[in-house]
Amino acid sequence: MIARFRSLSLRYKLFLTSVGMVLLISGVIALVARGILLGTLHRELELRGAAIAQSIAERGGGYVLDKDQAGLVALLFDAAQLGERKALVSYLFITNADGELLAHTFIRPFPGELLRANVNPEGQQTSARQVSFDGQEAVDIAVPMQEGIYTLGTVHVGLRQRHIDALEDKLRLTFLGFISLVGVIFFLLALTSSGYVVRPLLRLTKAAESISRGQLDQPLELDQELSWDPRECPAYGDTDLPCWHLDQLDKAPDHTPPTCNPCKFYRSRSGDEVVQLANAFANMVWSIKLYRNRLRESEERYRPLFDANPDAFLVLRVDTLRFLDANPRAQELYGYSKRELLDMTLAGLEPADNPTGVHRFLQDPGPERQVLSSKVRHFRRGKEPIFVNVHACRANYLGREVVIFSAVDVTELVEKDAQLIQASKMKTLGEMSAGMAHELNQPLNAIKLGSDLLALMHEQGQCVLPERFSRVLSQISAQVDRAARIIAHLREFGRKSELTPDAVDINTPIRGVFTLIGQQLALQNIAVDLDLTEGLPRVLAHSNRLEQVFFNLVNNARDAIQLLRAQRGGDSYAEISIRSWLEDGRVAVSVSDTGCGIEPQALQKIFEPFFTTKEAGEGMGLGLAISYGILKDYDGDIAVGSEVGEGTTFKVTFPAAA
Amino acid sequence: MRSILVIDDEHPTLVMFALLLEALGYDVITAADGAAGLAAFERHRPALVLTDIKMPGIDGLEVLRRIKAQSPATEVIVITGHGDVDLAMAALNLKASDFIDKPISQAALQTALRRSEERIGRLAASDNPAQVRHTADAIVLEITGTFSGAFRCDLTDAGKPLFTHAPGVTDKPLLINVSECASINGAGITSLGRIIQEARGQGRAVAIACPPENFRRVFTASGLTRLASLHESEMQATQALRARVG
Repeated sequence: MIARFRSLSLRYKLFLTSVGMVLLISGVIALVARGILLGTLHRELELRGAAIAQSIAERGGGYVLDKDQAGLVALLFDAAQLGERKALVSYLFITNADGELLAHTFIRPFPGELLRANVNPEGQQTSARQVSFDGQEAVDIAVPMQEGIYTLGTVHVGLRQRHIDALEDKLRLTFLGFISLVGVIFFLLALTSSGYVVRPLLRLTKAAESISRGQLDQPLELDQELSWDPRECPAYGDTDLPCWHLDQLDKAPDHTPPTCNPCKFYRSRSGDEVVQLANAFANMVWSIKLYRNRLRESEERYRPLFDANPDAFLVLRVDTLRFLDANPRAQELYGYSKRELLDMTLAGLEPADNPTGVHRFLQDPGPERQVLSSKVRHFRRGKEPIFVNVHACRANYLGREVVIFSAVDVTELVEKDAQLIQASKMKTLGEMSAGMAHELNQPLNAIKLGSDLLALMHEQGQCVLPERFSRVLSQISAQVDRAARIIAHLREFGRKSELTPDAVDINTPIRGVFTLIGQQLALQNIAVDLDLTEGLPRVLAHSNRLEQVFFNLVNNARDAIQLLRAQRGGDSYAEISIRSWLEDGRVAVSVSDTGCGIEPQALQKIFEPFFTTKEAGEGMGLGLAISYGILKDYDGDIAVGSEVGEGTTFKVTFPAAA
Repeated sequence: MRSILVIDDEHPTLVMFALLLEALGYDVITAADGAAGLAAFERHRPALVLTDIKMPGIDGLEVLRRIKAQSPATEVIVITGHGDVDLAMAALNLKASDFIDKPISQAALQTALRRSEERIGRLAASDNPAQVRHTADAIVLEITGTFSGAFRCDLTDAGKPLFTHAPGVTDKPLLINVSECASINGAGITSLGRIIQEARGQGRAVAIACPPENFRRVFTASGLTRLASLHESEMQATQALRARVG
């Protein structure tokens, strides 16, 4: 029963409670009032009966003393018929002191049982008793008839029971009607008041339900003045603008924009608790609306940045190395659809053993949250290698730890670089040609002499001494090897480099330079001092490109020496010294000369493209710029120090290969 | 047995030289650079010197200059890089007797040696490097010795009657015949150029007969071939002149 009550709606609870209370109170009032009213009625009627009896007793004394029976009867009838008493009074009779009947108003034989039905006890003024006679009910009231101290007799008045009952019925009916009226009024009142409390609650419930279904835009009919136009809120349309309420900003009066003072949306209304609740609810809905709008705007703002970005963007889960998202450019760059990319791991795009790139960033993020690696080798569809500049940063994406990275395709640039380096190498080869011709001529000359000697011996039919014969042959063989080495080296130098670097012993390209131009330098009376440390860590580079760099440096050194000789005249002593050593974990090489030196103002520009101090037509001014580019590719560095008239030293450093 | 000094900074070349020259019957002295070469020259005074031009330190030209200063009669043959006529001319101007291109062929070496030998022999007999003779077809200028600027006056004197005091032969063509063992330096080339210019000015056809191949290259490089036709032998030159006159 109680459980059933609990499951009822609030409205019924309020209604039933109030109606129950009213009924209970009405019932109690009815019971109490009835007792009081009926008691009063009975007493009043008895008093009236007693009053009638007393008036008869006063007036009838003389008749009793006179024994005038006729006068008594007349008195009784008069009294009985007087006014409205007729309906009330059923009968009257008088007895004497001995209880004998003196007169009565019966028009039939007097019912003898009435004489003993109500005997007035001694010393009592009135006595009332229920009697019945001839099938009728009555209340008999006996009043003594006194004359001085003598009791002459007793007057009995019979009040008609039927009349009393009718009066009682009338009273009861009136009273019940009144109570019922009050009940109905209370019922209506309860109905109205419960409706007043419950109706806003119902509306709030409905609104909350529709909000939970995402329908924020339907109007909240909480009160009439609440009509929202979101455009009126400056923070709704412009997500960059903070909302003083939502963002919990310090509401300094001078900071509050005039449009927000007072805020049209966050309001406090005066009213009862229901109004307060509705107000708080309205504020809450506005907060949700504002927040959702901001969220959507922010998403709408950043999504196009992601999708329309000309660089490839990929979102990678750190734990599984799988992709979570990829923009259209990434799909285009790598040649996979988004669905395919989402099924792939990082290893599908980037070889795990890359020295730089995303793998490296994941293993060793370093102090920075983001990192830029250039010319990272990635794979397109079909294992086609491409070169990209990777910009990676750690972030949270949909609640997961991710790395977001962009990849800019620089394959063409890398290829162009390679072509440029190759072209400059060809130019270098041209510069080397004189030295190379000399280098090649030496073994050829020896071979020619040797073979001619043998031919001469053959022609003259002379017998060659075996010792001489073998000397000639071994020399020829050695010189052929020497020429072959030079040619092989030349071919190696001219070969187009692979795109990926190797681990190179730095001394190899340095020695290579002198394989080709060492003799020439000697002929120009330039001493070469090689101080190369053996067993240095290797560096990640292309040997022939490094040789190009060192050739450039040595060539510049030679030019500087020749220039100084031209300025000073004569063939003064000159030296080019090359050292290699390990310095702070980096492999260092220095190339020093005793040439003319570089002017301080020129020193700052020597690595710039097209800067040259040579005569027009002698140099493009690209040698050092290209050397600089090559070194940068290997994370190398180059520094220069120079003293005019004394000489110049270039120092190159590389990271040691792991 | 004649002694010969060979100067070359290339050890293998030097070894081969020594073997070859010994086989050709020379007493060979070797030196690995210019300084050592000059010292060896002081010591042995050979009549013949073979030197590489390009050497570190004291180079071949310097060696040539110093030897010629000390001993002008010494025959110095320089070895030049293939086709380097400028260097050859520079050496000839320094009175080098001859030049050989690298890589050295045994034939070129033998020719050069033979011509040097002849010059050494001729020097003892006569010091006139050029004579003029008249044939039926041409005026022939024979160059037999070392023809250089030093002989310019003689030649001009010889040339004048050649062109002006022989009216009957005014229309005869000029044939310059360079003999097998002759040597011509830069001054000699310049004089020859002047003589050819003069002859052409008089309406004469000019031909050069030059059997040594290396001097033909020098003539070509110096531009004389633009003024006169160049032939390998006197007979070919004479035929060419006849054809032109005819």
